[in-house]
Amino acid sequence: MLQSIEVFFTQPIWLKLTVDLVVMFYYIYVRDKTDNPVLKRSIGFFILLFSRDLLYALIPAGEIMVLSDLIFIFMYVLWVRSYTGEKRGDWIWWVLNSIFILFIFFEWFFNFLLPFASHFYRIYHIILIIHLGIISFKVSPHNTDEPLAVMKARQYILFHFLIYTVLLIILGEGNPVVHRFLVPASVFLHLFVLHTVNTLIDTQRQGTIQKLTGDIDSVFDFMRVMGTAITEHLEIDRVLDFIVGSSVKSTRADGGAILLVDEFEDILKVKAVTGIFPPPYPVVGEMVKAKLDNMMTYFESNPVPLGEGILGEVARSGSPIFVRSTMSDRRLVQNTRNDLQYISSLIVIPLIVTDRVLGVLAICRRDKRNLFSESDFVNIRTFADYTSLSIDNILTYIELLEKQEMEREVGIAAEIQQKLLPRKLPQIKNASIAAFTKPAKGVSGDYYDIIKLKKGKIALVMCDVAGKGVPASLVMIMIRTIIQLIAGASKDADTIVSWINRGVTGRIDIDHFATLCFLTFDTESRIVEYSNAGHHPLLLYRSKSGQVENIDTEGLPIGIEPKAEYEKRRIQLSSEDILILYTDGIIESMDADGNQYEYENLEKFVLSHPYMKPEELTNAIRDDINKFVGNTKQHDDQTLLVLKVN
Amino acid sequence: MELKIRKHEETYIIDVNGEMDLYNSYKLKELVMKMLEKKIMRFIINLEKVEYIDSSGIGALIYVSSTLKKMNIKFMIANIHGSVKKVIELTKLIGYFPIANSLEDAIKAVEA
Repeated sequence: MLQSIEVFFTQPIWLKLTVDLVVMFYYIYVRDKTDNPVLKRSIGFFILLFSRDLLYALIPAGEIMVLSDLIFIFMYVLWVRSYTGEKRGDWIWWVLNSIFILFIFFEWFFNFLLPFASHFYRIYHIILIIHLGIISFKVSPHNTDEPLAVMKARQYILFHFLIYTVLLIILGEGNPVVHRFLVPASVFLHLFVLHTVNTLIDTQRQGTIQKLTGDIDSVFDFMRVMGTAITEHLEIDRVLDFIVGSSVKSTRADGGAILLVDEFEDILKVKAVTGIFPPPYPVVGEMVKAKLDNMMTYFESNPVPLGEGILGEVARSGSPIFVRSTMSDRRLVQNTRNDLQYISSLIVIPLIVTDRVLGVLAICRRDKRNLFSESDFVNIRTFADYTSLSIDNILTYIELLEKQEMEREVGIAAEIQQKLLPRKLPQIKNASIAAFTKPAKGVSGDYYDIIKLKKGKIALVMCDVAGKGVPASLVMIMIRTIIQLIAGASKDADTIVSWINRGVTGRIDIDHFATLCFLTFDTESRIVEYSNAGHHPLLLYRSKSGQVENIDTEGLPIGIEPKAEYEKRRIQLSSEDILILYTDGIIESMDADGNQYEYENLEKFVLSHPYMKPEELTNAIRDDINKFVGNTKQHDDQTLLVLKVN
Repeated sequence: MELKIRKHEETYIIDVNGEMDLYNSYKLKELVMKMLEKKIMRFIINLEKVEYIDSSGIGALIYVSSTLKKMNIKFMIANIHGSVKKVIELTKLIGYFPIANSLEDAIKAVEA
């Protein structure tokens, strides 16, 4: 009796399961902290590990080990693939593995290969491990966005699988050493890989934050130079030089150029060049090709016709072009042959304001081993977006100065603002949105925006800047730029608001502070995340209870205190719920006797018309306010944004 | 909006009368800046007769308040009430401004 208990408890299964559980608990601990999608999905791996060991204890058949090891190796293949994004040729392995698995089952029942089967299987494993080796050693910073995890772990993974498989071939499948020692030990590899990935995600998160700070800083240095340029009777050339300089610096490019569309002819004129930027089109004349200086002078003095070459193409179509490697692009053959004209990687971005192409911003690298990455491309696009607005601003401003019509300033600010507001509200899943805004005296201090984010989320921004005119518009541009820059980083609402605040404070006159409310709406889960910087609370109509709630969080307005802290609230919405964001102008609309419309009226109106669609509701509220106000002059800007869950 | 200055010992009291909005708030900023040139060290802004304030008015108060804070000058805002109080509460600025309930309290605070 005692002996059989002893036999039971000294079986290898206990050690295996303990090790499996340790790894699984570590995995769950890591998973809850991460937002890495691959890691989130890998629970299957650990469940498989656990059930494999359990199953083997019941049915000690070598086939179970062979099958599961095959799946583990292949999971690593898929893991590496998830980083490279490269899927070509994978189907061959899916087919081979499926045939192999069928074969194992077939052999298991009919036993025609015995006793060579096990060796045969393990040799196939080695082939698959070699394939894993090939693809994982192809991973480098040049072809993969986040290569570090694979690069750090690959030699350990390969070494481990090879040793493991070779030892199994030598010792044999059923050997007690294998099950008491080798199998449990091999589990620690998975633990190691998991740990490596987890540490990397942590450091990467730190890196992203630092990078965002850098991005925002460069945008604001730029903002400041532009500001002084305006007050010092600006020279556009100096500003353009600065723009190219900062773009080249922030993307670590070797050279860059800005070309603007000529006012009268259909040509692009080179306006600013930084570093070495060889012409990305065929050059005529031996003299030109002989010296770098000649080449650069040639580029600077020869305009590019719209539609011709890669620069002209971008200016005509208005869509950016990213040539990661010039080796594979026929338009840039001339830039791969001649040493002086050599370009390894090229990005050309159009500068667009309200559907009009102002020109293009181009940057290049000249090192074969250091190509632009996707994130360089994304960054330079955000930068170009901002650049376009600024150039347009400056050009309009120059026009203004030239004509000595300072009284038009307000009109110009209004024009800038028109460009800032979303032209069309996006169609989104599970909800519909409507908005209206009506400036008092043509220029507004109100700003709202609707931005589509990743993962089916959208962001709504409602903002009221104190003061009016060009300075207030500049604050809006700043806020919009920061949101566009960081909203993609899928941060919490309060983090976004504190970023906006940190970016703006100290860079504007303090009396142009802004109250701002930021929220994200997840179109899948219908969860709203809300954060407020001194703006009116969010009006939330609950269809279930038929009641209105006011949602608010603590925090100073934007632009006053750089260290201001913000809070967030998460709210689960359900069908037919209505969110309303508004500015002062709505509830402070005044009638002839100086009475205000008041929040209570807005609330009452929503409570009595909850069945209306957002479009109808905004119109009806506007009509109700107009009726209340009568002929009295509008006092303040009015903006209203309504979101209704389907 | 009208601005009047009176003196209580070493303290200067600015009485604001009327609406503080986009079109006149800059006057308060200018006045305070001018007074700073004269090395005045104690300020009170009395909002007893202000019934309406917009964001530009709040902006002017923030500007004055942050400038004086930086220069270590003693400063209080007295008698906020009604819609002015509502706006300051709404924008969460109650804790940001040095606020006194009455002129007497404000004088006591700056002369302390």
